[in-house]
Amino acid sequence: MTAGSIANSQPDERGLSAESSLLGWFSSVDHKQIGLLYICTALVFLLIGGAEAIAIRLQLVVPNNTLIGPSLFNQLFTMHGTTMVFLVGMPILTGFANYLVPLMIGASDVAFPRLNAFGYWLVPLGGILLHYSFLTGSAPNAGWFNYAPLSERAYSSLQGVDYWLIALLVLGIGSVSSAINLIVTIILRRAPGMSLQRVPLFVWMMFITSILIILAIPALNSALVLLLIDRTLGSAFFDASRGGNSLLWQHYFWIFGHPEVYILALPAFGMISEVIPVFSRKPIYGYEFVAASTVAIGILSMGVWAHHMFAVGLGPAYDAFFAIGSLLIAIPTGLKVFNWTATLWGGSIRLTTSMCFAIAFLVQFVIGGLTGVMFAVAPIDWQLTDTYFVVAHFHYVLFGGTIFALFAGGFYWFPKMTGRLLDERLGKITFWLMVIGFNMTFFVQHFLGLMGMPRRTYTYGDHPGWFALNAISTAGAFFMGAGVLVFLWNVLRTLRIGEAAGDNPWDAFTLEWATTSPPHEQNFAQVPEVKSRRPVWDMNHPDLADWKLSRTPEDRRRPHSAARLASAAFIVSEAMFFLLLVSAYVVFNRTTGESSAARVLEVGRTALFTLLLLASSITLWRAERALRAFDQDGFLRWLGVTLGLGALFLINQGVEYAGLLHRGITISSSLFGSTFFTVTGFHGLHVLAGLVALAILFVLGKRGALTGRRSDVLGAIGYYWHFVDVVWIVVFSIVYLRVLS
Amino acid sequence: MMTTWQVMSELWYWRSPAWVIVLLATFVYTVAALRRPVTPRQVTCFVIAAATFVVALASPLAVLSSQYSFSAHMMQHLLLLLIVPLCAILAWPLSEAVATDNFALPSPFGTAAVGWLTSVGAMWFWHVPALCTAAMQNSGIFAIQTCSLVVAGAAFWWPVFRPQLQRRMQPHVAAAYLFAGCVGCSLLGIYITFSPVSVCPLYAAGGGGALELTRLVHEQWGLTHRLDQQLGGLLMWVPACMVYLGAILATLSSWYHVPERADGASRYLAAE
Repeated sequence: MTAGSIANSQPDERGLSAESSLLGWFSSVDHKQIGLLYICTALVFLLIGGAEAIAIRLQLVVPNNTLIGPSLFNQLFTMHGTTMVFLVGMPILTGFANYLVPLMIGASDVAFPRLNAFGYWLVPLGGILLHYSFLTGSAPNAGWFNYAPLSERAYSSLQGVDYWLIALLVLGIGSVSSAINLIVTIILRRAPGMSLQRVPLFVWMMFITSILIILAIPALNSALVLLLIDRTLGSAFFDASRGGNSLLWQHYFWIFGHPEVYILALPAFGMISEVIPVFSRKPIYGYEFVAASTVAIGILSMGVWAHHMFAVGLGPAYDAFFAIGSLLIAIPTGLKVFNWTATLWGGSIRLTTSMCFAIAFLVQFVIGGLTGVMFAVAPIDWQLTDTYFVVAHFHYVLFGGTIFALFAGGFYWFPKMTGRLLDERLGKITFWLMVIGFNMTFFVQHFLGLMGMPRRTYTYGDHPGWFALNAISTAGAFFMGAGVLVFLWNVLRTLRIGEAAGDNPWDAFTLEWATTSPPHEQNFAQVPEVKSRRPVWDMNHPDLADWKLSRTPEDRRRPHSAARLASAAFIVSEAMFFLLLVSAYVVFNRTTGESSAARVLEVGRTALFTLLLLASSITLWRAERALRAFDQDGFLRWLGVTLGLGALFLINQGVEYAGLLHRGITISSSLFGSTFFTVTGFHGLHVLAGLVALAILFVLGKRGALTGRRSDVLGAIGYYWHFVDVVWIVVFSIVYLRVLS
Repeated sequence: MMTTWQVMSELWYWRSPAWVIVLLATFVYTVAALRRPVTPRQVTCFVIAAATFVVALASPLAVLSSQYSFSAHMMQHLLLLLIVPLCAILAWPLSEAVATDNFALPSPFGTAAVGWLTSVGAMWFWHVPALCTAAMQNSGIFAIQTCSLVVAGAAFWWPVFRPQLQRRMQPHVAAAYLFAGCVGCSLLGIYITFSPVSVCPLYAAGGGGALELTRLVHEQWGLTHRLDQQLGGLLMWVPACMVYLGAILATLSSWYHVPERADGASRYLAAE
């Protein structure tokens, strides 16, 4: 590919410009291209993760099989789980959101196109890191939730787990950046008239999902860095033999892990909420209830993580409360199922492939949901945990639910993305192969689980019935494999000779169908008027327009600074990260031991530097004021003082560290050392990051480049700087003043 | 040994000032209701607020929370902080227009930051071990504690559910605000639940109270001090959050509600 050929290539008749060349894809910041990149990358990993699943099922097809040894089996199920959650589920949903959200709200792109590209490119990076571990001797093998102490160096001495940790950190950072981007896009970039009460449900669910992502992923990140420090620097956060606490890993992992289930499920709910109304020729039944129940699910999901830990013996009080909390989630979720069913009721249903997948989703998701309610009851959980019943349960939710919804969404939006309709006959073949294969594979696993077959064990004895059920399960996996291959063939065939779709092949309701298929670079020549939840329906059926029959809340004034909003969202995620780090400090420093805070920290001196750091917030506020008043000198002076105060704080921290290290207190010497250096170290890094950002602004300001909208950036970084100060107040109170001891 | 039934039927504080306060409040409310019409729902809210107030301060719950059970004590706090002020505010007749605002409080009272800080702050403040103990031993401090919880709760709910509809917080802002309140209380709940340190050491000491009742709580009910504290923390964490969640859903329902014709019609025409 040369520069000349790019320059020479002409825009084709669909309005795709020269940017669709190979280099164009690599350097693209267009939300549609990035969305497709996400989806294609996820499909590649789907094939890899699927192949791993087939290998697992082949090993389990007969009792006492020796096809795959225990060591490789452990790697396979770990990689299968990790791949499917982090490299298939999250990226493919982010991809759909990236492609569709701006179109659905009538925007020309996301709020931060370059950040969007950054977030995408972290996915292949993380995926390659994770799979590179195969070349180091062993892929990660401690399961997708990587429980300590198994994942500690003493029990997993090869580098697989290290690659797992780093890859997930990379992917987590990408997910948070794309979530922040979506939040800002949905709040700021909606077309006139598109109030938040009118957005398509897919957009609303992505909004709630994105909030869940910025709250949940940082919890995983903090667990990952603690384990990474354990493994590489010799601390003992999760090593009970040295005073650590292995259960802490479980808590931290599931504080992330349970919302993660909904991060994977809510976007699927959103897709179903778009597909079912269109193919029933009715608006969704009870829009408000579907939307509000999503909020309830989001909030509840943050508080029920310990139902994954019934078997560890937390005690009856915990079990009772977490059981009730978990059971409660069934209410808003069940409400959605009723709404979808009521939408079908009395509609003129068109059984397209997309709709078939949506209906299968409904049935299978209900089964997965019901077994989930069973697991909320602690005694049932004790009986069935770590058996194939669990495997069956979550595959019904994530495969029978999310993946089926993705097929429904895929068939529905494919014509919008490519301009061509997928073949319905091949689609139906895919559908039946998937339905039969999926239920064959996983329904029988309920029985295997009830009979006590343990999950994650590479083989099993020749117990009555086990062979037959496992053989059925494996056969089903091949049906699904065939289904995926037929689907891929359908895609490739359609791209070559598929039937042209036109702008709105399904006579659908939402804004993405008001533009060309595929949309041109700017998305819309003109965004239709939005006066209801179904603007395209209103446009095509003016006599029956929704806004004439029932009214929805008008669009209101909205905030206008994307930079500040993004900064606020970022701060929320950072707050969660620090919350868990500080919690680790509190957990491990309740008693005053040999090298405890009381004995080794110089509170007075640090108090002085704390005041300097707090003063820097005031000087930064003065700098902002000066910039607003076009006082260039005042701005530079106050910003300079801020930089100086921040630097002084860091210098003091350096001196303090040197003193502690001199006295033999290191990150690996005791739990106080581990927690102290981790908490203050990460805070120090954040101060440093703030200083770098402010220094860049200082240089820009000196050149007189901080004018107009760019001055907003100072406000955004100001938020961040004040936040870092607030974190320090908390750290100082807990670590130095010991208010919680 | 006392039975549970005896506890429920006999252990009422008949001389608690709570009765007087409730009687006075009922009188005031009745007089006010005669002058300004109230809906049955508002009357119900008032009854719930008054009943909850009595349950918190004069019922067996109050007896248990005085020195026998930390979780009863937490329940008392939750009723005073969350239920009593919320229902009291909802009992007030609504006023549509700002002009008839004859119930103007100093402005900082209505702001989000003040509401959040006072309510979350009050909960954290009164669970510092020294203060928790002091409130149990000194009736003057206990009275201050009770008042501060009710006032803090009122400060929290006021911006969201104040009677002047026009001046209520925007529903989506209110949802975020309520979620922040849920987070603040959850963190305390989580801390109390998992903390091996005794938050109110006096309950652990076990002495001071009637021996019979102590034995009932610890032996017959099986409420060991550790379990008692876990239960208290979990109450603060899970049911308290359910109250906030309920409030979030209530505000969302008003967010989706379309104001009736009055001002809608003109906008409707303008859109034509």
